[in-house]
Amino acid sequence: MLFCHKKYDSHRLIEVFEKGTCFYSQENAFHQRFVEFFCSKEKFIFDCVLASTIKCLQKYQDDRKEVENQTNINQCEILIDFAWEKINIGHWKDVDVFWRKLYRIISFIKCVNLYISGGVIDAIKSCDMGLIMGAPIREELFTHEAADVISLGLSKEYTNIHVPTKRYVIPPRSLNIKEVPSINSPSLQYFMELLEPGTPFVMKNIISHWPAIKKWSPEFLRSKHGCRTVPVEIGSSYVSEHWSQKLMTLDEYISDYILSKSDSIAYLAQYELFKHITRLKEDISPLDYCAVSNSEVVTNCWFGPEGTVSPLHHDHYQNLFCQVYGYKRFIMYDRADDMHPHQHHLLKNTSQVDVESPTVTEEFPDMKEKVAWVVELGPGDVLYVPLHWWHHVRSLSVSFSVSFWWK
Amino acid sequence: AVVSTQSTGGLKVKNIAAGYWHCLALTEFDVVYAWGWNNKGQLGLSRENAMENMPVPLFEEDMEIDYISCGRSHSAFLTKDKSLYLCGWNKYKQCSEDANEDIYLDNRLKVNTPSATDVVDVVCGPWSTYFTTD
Repeated sequence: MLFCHKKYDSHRLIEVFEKGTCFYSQENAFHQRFVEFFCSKEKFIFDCVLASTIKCLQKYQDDRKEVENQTNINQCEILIDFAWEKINIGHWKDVDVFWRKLYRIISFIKCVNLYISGGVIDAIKSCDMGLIMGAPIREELFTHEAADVISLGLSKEYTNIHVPTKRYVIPPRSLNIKEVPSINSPSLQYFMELLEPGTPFVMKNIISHWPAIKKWSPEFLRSKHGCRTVPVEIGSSYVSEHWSQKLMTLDEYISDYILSKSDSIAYLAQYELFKHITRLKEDISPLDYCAVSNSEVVTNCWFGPEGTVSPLHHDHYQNLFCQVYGYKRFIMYDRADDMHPHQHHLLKNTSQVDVESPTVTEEFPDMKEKVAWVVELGPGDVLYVPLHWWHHVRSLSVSFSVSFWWK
Repeated sequence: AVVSTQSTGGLKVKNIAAGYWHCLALTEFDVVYAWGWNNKGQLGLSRENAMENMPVPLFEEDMEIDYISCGRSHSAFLTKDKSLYLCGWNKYKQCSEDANEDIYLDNRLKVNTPSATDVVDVVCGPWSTYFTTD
């Protein structure tokens, strides 16, 4: 049987497979915890799968052809199903991190076995499940690296066809609109001064050097990272009854919801994509401006079609929102303004006011005086959203943004 | 969901069984109600029903259910005429040795376990099913 993936058996991938399986088989602290949760029979299965995987990997390198190992894959699935159960019972806060570590390890081992038996697509899917549901041991990155190298091998050529076309939605005329000021490439010191009043502003020409600005497009993502699985939100807004999440590959997401008109809106929102698909980190760089405080920075991606709406809400972070591809419109209100938040404890940060409704000032008459800070962002713009400020975001075209949250 | 006799059409509940994410209630007059997750077909409903927030009745009127039992994601129903019906997660052959996929039931279509006739008792482990015959 012609083994067409030989070209992509980069030395790097086999090295990651070897290092990873060895590392996991020698992690004594983890093994000790394993015995606490399982009886000796499951530990025996776990040890056997690891040992057998190491043997099969060796055989694969020696013989240079696919190795049949369905038994290993079946054993992996048993442990994965068991760990998955534990992760999905009760409150996620109460789930012992042991189960998520086990899930990550076995997903990696399953990936190795799938890859050397010729199942490259299933191999990377297994990695992605391990990355989405699992947790690392001491910040190791074996699963990340394996997935990144496999996806390199599955990369395709592409041409940039899609040009984002803007559909502007005018906010209701009854709102008291103020334009957000914009500043060209401020120095770090000037940025600190700009932060003081605690009001929003846009910075221009500070991310034009990001490779992402030139490179990223729906076609790029689909061709270079299409085989990766991500969690996508389905539904018009997160407060709607029919809102749900679904796992799908970037290829499926981009084909069905970005590049073609779909009945339902899907949105890859508030996802730490760069922690998952580490190769994409190379196309952006952290903003020096976030370093003004010593806090941890959370980096989220926001990738969706035209028409995604995040209803008026506030976050517990300072936000530098970078628009990379396409256009978005923000409507913002001062944190001190009473925006009639929902009572439900899960929605306390979300307003009941629909700022785009033509009858908004009839439903909520106090909206007439409150100042609405409105701005339209295009590629290369960076918006500062102050801590706890209310914001409503609508995409005016296919849009890709990166947000940096800090405190 | 919090359920009461009102949820089971006013019928009193004789017996109850719970899986990890679903529940069954056997009521007087031998009618079974099911609620919870149906991601593997464990509620005895078709693929279109992802889940049921409130109890829904299963089977046609002529089915008299004697015993019920739940595994992690599968369900077992034993009728008064000693027939066994299984549905739900089938990856480890909990429901059917022959089928290679999870077993979904329509309210119309019933999957009977062929080897299991004259079944007098059934109980489900999390990933398995045990039954005894006459």
